[in-house]
Amino acid sequence: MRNRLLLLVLLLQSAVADLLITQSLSDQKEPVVHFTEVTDFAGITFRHISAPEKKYIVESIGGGVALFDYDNDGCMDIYFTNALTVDTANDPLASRSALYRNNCDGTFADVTEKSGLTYPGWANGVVAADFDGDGYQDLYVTCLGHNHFYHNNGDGTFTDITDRAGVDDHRWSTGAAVADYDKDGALDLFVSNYVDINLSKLPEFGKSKFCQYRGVPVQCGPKGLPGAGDSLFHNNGDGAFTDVSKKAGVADPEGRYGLGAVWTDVDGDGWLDLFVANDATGNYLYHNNKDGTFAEIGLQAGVSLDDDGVPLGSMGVTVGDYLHTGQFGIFITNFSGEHATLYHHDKPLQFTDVSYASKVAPVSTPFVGWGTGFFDYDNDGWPDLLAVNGHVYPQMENASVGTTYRQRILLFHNEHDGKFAEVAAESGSALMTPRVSRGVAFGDLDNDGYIDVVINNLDGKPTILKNDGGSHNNWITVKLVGTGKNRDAVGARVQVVCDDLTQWDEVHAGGSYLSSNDPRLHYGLGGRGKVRLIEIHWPDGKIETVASVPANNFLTIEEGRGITRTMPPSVRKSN
Amino acid sequence: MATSLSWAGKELCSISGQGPAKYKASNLQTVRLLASLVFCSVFAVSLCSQERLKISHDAAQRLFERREDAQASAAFRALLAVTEKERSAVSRRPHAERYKRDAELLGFYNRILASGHNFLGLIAARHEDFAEAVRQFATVRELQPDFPDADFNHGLALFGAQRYTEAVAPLEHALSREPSNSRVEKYVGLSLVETGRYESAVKLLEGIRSSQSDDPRVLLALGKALARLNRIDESRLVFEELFKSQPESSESHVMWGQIFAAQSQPREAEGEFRRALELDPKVSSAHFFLGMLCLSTERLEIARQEFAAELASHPQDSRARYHLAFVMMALQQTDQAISLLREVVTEQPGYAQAHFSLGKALLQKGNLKESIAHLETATRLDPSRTYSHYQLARAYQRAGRAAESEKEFKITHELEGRQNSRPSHTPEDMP
Repeated sequence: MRNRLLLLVLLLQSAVADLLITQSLSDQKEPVVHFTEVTDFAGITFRHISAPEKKYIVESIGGGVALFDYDNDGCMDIYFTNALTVDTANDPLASRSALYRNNCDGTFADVTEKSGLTYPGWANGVVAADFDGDGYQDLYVTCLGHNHFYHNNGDGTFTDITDRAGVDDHRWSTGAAVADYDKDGALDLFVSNYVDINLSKLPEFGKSKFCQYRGVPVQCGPKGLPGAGDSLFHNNGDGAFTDVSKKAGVADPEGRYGLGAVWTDVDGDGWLDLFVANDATGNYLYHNNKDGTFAEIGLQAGVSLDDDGVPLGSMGVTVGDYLHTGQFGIFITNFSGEHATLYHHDKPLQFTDVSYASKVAPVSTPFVGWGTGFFDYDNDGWPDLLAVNGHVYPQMENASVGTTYRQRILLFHNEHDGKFAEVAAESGSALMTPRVSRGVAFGDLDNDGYIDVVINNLDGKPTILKNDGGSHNNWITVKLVGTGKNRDAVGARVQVVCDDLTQWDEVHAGGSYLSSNDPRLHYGLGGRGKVRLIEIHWPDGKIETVASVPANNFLTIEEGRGITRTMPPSVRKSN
Repeated sequence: MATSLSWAGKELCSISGQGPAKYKASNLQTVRLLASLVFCSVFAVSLCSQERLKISHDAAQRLFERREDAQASAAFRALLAVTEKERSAVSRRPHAERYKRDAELLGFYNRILASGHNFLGLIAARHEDFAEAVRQFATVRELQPDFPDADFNHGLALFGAQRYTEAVAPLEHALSREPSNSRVEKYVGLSLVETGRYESAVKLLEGIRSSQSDDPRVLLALGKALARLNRIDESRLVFEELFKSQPESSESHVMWGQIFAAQSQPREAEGEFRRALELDPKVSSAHFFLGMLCLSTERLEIARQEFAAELASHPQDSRARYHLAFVMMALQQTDQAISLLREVVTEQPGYAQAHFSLGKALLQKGNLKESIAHLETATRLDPSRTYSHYQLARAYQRAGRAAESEKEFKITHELEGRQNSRPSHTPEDMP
């Protein structure tokens, strides 16, 4: 009898304890992730140059960021582009772009001079990719005037091989994106161009109806100015490229104002398609015809215009499997008075503008959005969104017209149901600081398993935002090494399956706005401790799987050889 | 507005004086005499009928003039019923049996009917039931296109019903008949501003600025149009003149709010609208414009409340109803939006954007058939709008009507770049 009573008491105690645990769990809020600005601590002294008044459109477009491991030491290095002004247009030495080597300890060293990447001229965008398959990532820098293709020599230096490779574009180039669109094994290059501008005949500030904004005189354009076509350079595989823009059908004869660009396999047919964000004109979605040509289907696919059928001032673009459907949605940043657009992928080649349904529209309306990315900042297994902002008109600063020149960051947390909650205010004051931002790239700078953010701001110093990993969720990061010339495996799609969670991602080179992200694929896993399956769809069509991988590791998977390297995260350092 | 029916009385006198003198008896014309007798009998009956209708009409008119609108309305409706019946009897006669006189009779009936509808339109307008006024004046123009002031009355009713796009044509027609009538010019100018034709509006409004100085709407519209044309300095001068001329009232604060809004000063505009509501919580349009301010900054929930408040005090305001529906769509409350938009298109069948929004909302709900019908209506009413063609293309695409879809995408592409105005965010987008 006594034993029975004791058992009853123990059972009751256990039940009460369970109840308390349940209550305490349900009371718990999701741990908050904070971003902290570490630019100064990191030793980044780069300053982007821009004329204070921005009297001309060429002075507002800003610069990009590339995160890439140029010396293959396993840590992401940073390249910032820098621009000239109308006053310094004839002096390429007036503006210095910068390469920072990651010391793998939270700090960076300026190695620009040695690298030979110092003075590309009026530089805008940048993309990093190993074009020749030598194991070292090269850089392509877009400029107003001549572009630059820098070959990575593997010894910390780069050589400008633009002319030899035949990839110059003397127009006003902005976005650049890399992919093997024809599956010949070599990486090709797309370059978007913006306005057909003549620096000696610039439209006069505030003088025509295209030079006014809400009654305030401002710089002119892009409306009212002629647009410039785009370029596609086919990699011949021998170090030279051929301009195939017209033949491929992506030359943009209408001259839309091209900015952000990304290659993605929209319909999952194994052939990469191309999305181009055009400012103030309809966006392009080029569907790959698998014969070296493309069909422009933006309008029919529902991604050229917004839901009202209106072309927006599109700047940056990112794609992501934000609903775990295996079909990537497209997120685009736009001008103020419009809103950021999120296109849901309904079925192959069919999208619906869900900006309002997803709740990204209302909050983004006052902002001029630029760089952006899907990234799982809290490692909960669902891609979130970040967009950096900042107006093009400094005259807005005191104009009291419902918008401002300096603008904060927007951070959208994926709520797992197709909706996003804007959470910048609770994710660190660094996100709420108003800036005039342009390019942004995402990557794990300190290899701690949490994605950091690097922003190139128009006026002055950049911003490095360190993710403090406050969610304590698990993750896995995958670096792919392909065979042949596409060693970066650009275009590969990777499925990661973990209990109830199935996520897809794709290797990109170029995207966001004028920028290039950490090429490694990163997947948050929530509280799940092990990955059941990783399935790699290599660009050449081969499918490879690896199974049962413990979480919280950096994996290197080589095509045909499986996992060849597993690295734990680095110990997190405080600053 | 025209209220007189004196022309009808004069014509009746003329007819009754001529008739009997025409027919003189003669031995050789016995048959003709008999026929004439029959004719005279019919004539006498019709004469009585005409006199009776005239008397009824004049009695109803007196009620109208004494502002006894309910009785006047009932009297005119009774008159219209009788007249319609008699006109039908005449018009039903086989063509071969019709006398020449019948044509005159039908003309008389039409004039009585036109006048009756005109008075009913005036009564409706007096009670700000502009939808009804539009119906009545449209009938007047149908029955008798040259009825005095028919175009102007119809245009003015459409203006009052906020159907600005439709109002322009009859008002311009009225202006072509009376090119120096500054009152007609004013309403053409005001309508042009509301439909975004700022250049033409400025030309007209500048011309009547001094002669219509007692109507603050003229300066307000002129200032807005100049602001939209980026003629900021001139706009500012007009607004300054307006400020000086207006004493403080709830209406003037609403107006000043619009001025600030036109000058992209939302905080000041909001202050004026709030002040207007403090003075008179039911002042027209204050909540509406507050809603518009909130809409422009995507404060959707507050915008919803403001439009709902405007509707609560002014239930006939289709403009507020449309924008409430617009916000409901943005808030993903599509069913409620559809319900509101159905009301709007019933009230304003010529409102292209309401058809567009309803079609779009129905498309979201998967109601392809009805969606396509409304989007087709929207493109027919206003073929220049890219967004209507685009949405129609999407609807056809979903319905598997590939050829029609491609055709609409092609039109969208052609229009794209030529104009890209966004639908329905501003009051100027209202028809």
